Amino acid sequence: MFAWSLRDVLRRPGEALLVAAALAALALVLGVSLLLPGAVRATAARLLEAGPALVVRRVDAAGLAPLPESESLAVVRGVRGVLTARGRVFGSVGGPGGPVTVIGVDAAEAAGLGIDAPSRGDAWVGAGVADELAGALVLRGVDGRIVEPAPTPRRLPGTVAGTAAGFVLHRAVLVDRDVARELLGLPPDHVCDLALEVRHPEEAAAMVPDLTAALPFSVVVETRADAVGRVAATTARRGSLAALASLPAALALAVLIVAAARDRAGRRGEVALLKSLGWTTADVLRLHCARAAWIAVPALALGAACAWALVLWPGVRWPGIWFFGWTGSPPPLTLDPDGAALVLIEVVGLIGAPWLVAVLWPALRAATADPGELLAEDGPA
Amino acid sequence: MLHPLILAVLAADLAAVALVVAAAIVALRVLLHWRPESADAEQLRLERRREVAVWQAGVAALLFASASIAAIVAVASALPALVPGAMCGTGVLEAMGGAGGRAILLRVLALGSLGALLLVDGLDRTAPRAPLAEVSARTLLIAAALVPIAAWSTWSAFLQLDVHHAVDCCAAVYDPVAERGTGLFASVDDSVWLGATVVSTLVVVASAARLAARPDARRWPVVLGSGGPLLAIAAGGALVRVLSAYRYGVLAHHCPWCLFLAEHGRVGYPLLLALWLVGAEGVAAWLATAIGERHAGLAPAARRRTRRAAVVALAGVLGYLVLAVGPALLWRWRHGTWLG
Amino acid sequence: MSLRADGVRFVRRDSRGDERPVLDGIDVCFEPGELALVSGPSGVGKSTLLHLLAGLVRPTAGTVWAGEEPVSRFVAAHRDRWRRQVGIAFQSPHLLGELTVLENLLVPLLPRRIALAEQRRRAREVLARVGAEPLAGRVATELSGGERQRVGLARALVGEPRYLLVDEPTAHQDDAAAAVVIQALAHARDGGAVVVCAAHDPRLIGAAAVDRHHELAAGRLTPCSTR
Repeated sequence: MFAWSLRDVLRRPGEALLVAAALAALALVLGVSLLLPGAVRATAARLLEAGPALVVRRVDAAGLAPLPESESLAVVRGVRGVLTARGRVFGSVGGPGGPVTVIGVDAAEAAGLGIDAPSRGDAWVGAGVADELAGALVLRGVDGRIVEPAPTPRRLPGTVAGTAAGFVLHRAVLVDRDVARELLGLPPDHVCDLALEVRHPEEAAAMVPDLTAALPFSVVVETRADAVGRVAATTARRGSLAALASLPAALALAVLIVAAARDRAGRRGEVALLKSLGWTTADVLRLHCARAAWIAVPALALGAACAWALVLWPGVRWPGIWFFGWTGSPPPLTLDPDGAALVLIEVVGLIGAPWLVAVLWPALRAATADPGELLAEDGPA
Repeated sequence: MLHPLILAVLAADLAAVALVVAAAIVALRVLLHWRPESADAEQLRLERRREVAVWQAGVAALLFASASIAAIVAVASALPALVPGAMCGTGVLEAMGGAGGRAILLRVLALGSLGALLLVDGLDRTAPRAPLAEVSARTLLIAAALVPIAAWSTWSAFLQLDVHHAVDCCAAVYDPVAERGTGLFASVDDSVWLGATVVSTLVVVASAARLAARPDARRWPVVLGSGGPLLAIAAGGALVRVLSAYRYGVLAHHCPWCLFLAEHGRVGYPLLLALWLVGAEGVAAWLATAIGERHAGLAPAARRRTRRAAVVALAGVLGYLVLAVGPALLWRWRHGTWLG
Repeated sequence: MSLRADGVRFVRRDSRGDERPVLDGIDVCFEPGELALVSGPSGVGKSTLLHLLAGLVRPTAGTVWAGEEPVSRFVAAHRDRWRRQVGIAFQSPHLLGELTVLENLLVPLLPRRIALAEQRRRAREVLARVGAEPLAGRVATELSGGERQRVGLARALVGEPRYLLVDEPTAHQDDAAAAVVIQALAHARDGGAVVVCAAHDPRLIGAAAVDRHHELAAGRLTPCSTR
């Protein structure tokens, strides 16, 4: 019966191909719009998990303010539960082709990244900045001052500290800490925030009041869970917008289902003939099931595989433009495939189940009618 | 809380409810207008619609069973990661605040009614003139009442799932037993669970073996029909209270849901299946025999179904013995003593 | 086992809801190993009678019996299963257009558990019996009216039915082909099948192979001759 159903599909190869292409396209569109936000969220969460357990930022009436590094570190290191603490210097400045993120790194941080520490007159740049460079690297500081930190900056490798860093460091410029301070307008021995590691990460939230009380100025403290939640919320918002793309797909699915149902309803005479030749309702349904499977299984598998490749293939660039609104050269992304299989199964179910119903329901209705009457209506000639 | 598995459960439940309710409308018409001796247009239309309704009910049963499996997987394996403090399904049920247990009970009842419907329709199909059409319609109406309630209670339980407050998984497991709680599970002594399991196992094995050899043996279907569900309950209690310790390697960890975790080989799934088979097929044997006695034309098919039910129930008992009692015997053989 | 109509009545309702009696109290018994002919002018209800006997429609009143089984009282699912014992060749053959003749013949065998090679062997054998073996690879839409009719008959024969019901099998056939068709019907009869043939073709009415002849007129069946 299964082999015969293939022969049955091939009775109308053009029609079968068209339906298969439509199903594959639907699976692709739905798969991409559901996979991408999940993959971005998982990737961001993974990166944040590798980041500090607590981040301390100073606030005043004007907003975020720099922290005095030595004094702040001495205080937070004295808080119970803090394992390590370091100040960070980073911020957004004007660069070639638009804003770039300047990160001031010292020898220890550079060693952690697996690169040489940049000295004054030297810099590392991410791929997005390197692609737009024409000669020396020129940056515009927050006070409008033009600074030329490096005549010949070095391009950051694709993998930093054992992980694909394109997502994070694509438009980053790594310079000596003092140079970064000059660009960002920070006083000497001041940092943007403090990154803390704690002894028991699950108790990080409980340390927030201690840290707030210990420091002699107002601060906001963000836990890793807060950061992950913030990114998840942002991704969900962007994902909802991206999911709008699946609305036409849903309409297309509805059209396809109606077409399939009408087509099957139009072949009632054929069902009647089969029944008059000794087929039972179960036989007829088996045939229709197998016929639907021959079309839907390869189509949905192809669509789902293409969606997987488009989103999760290492080094994809298009989500940078479409999802993050990146202008210029987008970063190559290596997104986490966590939960992708479940999402794709969901997509296959979302499309396959209604389509199967659209195919089987008219067949069932026809198969349970009296074949003599249907043959009189419209049997094959 | 829209986890993909929860969405899958919801979608499958919704489809099952729609199908079973649509089929129930036909069942109602069957009860009101079924006249097998007539060949008028009304009866012919009803026969055709009934055939569709039987298919619908079959698909609904399949969907509802799949949704039930997905719900168990969600509670046992997927949701514990989302509930603070939950290490297994016990924590998840605790985070549902009692609604989870209610939903499980209702799903078991709904599955039972769907199983009975499939059995009745299966026997009815073997006779040319559908003598069980009205019995099937009544069973379908019962299922149509239970399935939506079970689906609604499942959905309510998922909605009540509190992922913001930590649960104490272990307190839910240890405290009731340690303090000799008032519930059936906590208040009954270990020896009672074990004794009930041994006795009901002997009863089920004897009756199932008898019916597998001679499916028309009188009285034995009633014995299997009552012994099967009793064994399922007693064996479940004995497993959680006594035998699970040999799986966990820890005394007094009376948690049913940890058996579904990967570190314990997800043995909870086959054990649940074994207990379901023993209980459900025991009742099936009794039902099939009762139908065969009332409708002579269905007697051969009823005997075949009774035999099959007996064999499957035996397989269920065997599965339980291997998976639950086996580790205890192995422990005894290796260490020369019982745990505790 | 015999095929018997017992007080069978059939009323057709048209699109306006008007009722027209087509068969009005048919009492007849067709025995195994018998080739029975039902004749009558066009539109008199011969095809309807065959459809009733095949369980494709149910009578308004009365019963169709196959041996001791009241098949017309069976629920639809059971009539489907019983119909595996029936081979029916329609007046309009209803072949599946995109398939070859051989594939059309395989259709009734597909739900039965028969090996594909055996299915093909049977199909070729039956095609040879109706003189249509050269047509095996042709697509059904390319056939002439007579060829389609013979392929329709072959499809009815391929399941080795206990009850063979044939509607106008010699229509569109030349004399030689008609003789082959009558021979194929006689072969089925000799194999022990109940063969009922509806026709108004004089070549069939006068054929020596016909054992019994009934005439259908005004909804009633009248015996004409018995050999």
